[in-house]
Amino acid sequence: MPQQDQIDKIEQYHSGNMSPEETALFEKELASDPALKAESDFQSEIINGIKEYRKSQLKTRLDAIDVSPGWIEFAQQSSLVKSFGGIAVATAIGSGVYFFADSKKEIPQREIANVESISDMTVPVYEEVTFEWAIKELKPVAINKTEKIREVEIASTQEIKEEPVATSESKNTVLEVNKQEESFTPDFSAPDAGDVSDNSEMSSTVLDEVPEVAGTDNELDPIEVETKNSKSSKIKYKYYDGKLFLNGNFSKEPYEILEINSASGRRIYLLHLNKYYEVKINDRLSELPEVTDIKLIQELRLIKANK
Amino acid sequence: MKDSEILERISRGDEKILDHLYKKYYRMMTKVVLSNSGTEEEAKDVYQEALLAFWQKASSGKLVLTSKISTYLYSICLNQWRKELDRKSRLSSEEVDGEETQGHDAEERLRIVKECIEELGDVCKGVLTYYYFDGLGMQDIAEKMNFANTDTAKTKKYKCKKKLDSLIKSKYTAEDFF
Repeated sequence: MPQQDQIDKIEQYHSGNMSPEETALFEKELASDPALKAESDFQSEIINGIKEYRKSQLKTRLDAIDVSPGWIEFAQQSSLVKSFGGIAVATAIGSGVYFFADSKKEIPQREIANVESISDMTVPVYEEVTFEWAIKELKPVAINKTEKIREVEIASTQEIKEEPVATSESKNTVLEVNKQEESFTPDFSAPDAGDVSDNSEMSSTVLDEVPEVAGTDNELDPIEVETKNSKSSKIKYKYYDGKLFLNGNFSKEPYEILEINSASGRRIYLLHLNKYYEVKINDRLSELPEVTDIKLIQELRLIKANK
Repeated sequence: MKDSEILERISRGDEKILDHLYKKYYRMMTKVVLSNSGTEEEAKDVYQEALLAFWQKASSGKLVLTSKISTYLYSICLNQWRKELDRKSRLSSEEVDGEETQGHDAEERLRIVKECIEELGDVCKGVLTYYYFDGLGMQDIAEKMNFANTDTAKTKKYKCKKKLDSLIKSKYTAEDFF
């Protein structure tokens, strides 16, 4: 039987735990001692046997482990899944690009939507601006039209009566209106026709509906004159409800009536035999008063001359 | 799990980490063989041999790892499969009767050794396999086998080895190997 220390030495040799010098020395002993060589071979077979046994033991353990691929590994290895995965990825990328591009297209729409909403919100501001413009335009236009109407009516009245009636006040008014028209002409033509037509406040009907001075309707009506000749040198009259009754000696010399319309009302004067008379409202037949104010007489003469 | 932690657990003989590694790298390592005209069974054998070689070196503390574990395992699998392909090519072109006879005797003696180990109790099996294959020290063996101390482990190892030697020698004598 080999000694235990000899067996330990053989184990160290086969386990590779000897130094090169120890290994060389031991191999010399092996070569010179057949019994030691036989024991070394025997121990080598036992150690290898133990190692193989352990390997078999561990391999049996490993064989019991389930190494079938999970769904992730299956997905990674399956060509079919890879193909579907590729399609899915391509679809996802395509969809992403589509929606990204689509979202870019939507940007202007959103801007438009925002603009619309902003415009809705700013409508009062827009109206306010328009209103300011309208105020500037309406005032002179209204006055202008009213004055023009009055002027036309004065002309028509004068035409009817064939008696030129004009005062410096009415003239001044007309001249002032003309000046205003000239000064506002550029602003008036600033907006286009569409904008004006769209704005109900700017419609011509509104302009036409501008209220006139109260009490002018009756005054603007043509005066009805009824005349009775008499032999008396005095002129008597009645004047109410737009009707003027005259009683005098008009057979030799006709009379003229001067009608002056202004904001303060209507004034009527009568010219006969180079004398001016003032016609006032009077429902009782009375003598027509003669104008004695020299300044007024001069004005009346001037109006008559410029008729 | 980091490679350093894996190596530390292997050095303590934690066999659960072996299971983890085996499953983790199975497809990657067997692909080496499968993509080089190997079968699934051959691929599994090569991978198991490579993993156990890694385990043996790592558990005995003889491994100085300079790369990732997966890279190390891959290189072992590749070399193992090249050796197997060389062996196959040599077997197909050479016929050596003498080697076949010697191989048969070696296989027979190996079978006898394994039978004798199998006859040992679980404690002796554990102590001997942990010491000779895993290369564990007496401290680790004592911990794994729940021994009182390292001296108990040493005594167990000595007695178990002596018993195995006796069993094998008796078998060899009966089979006329001596």
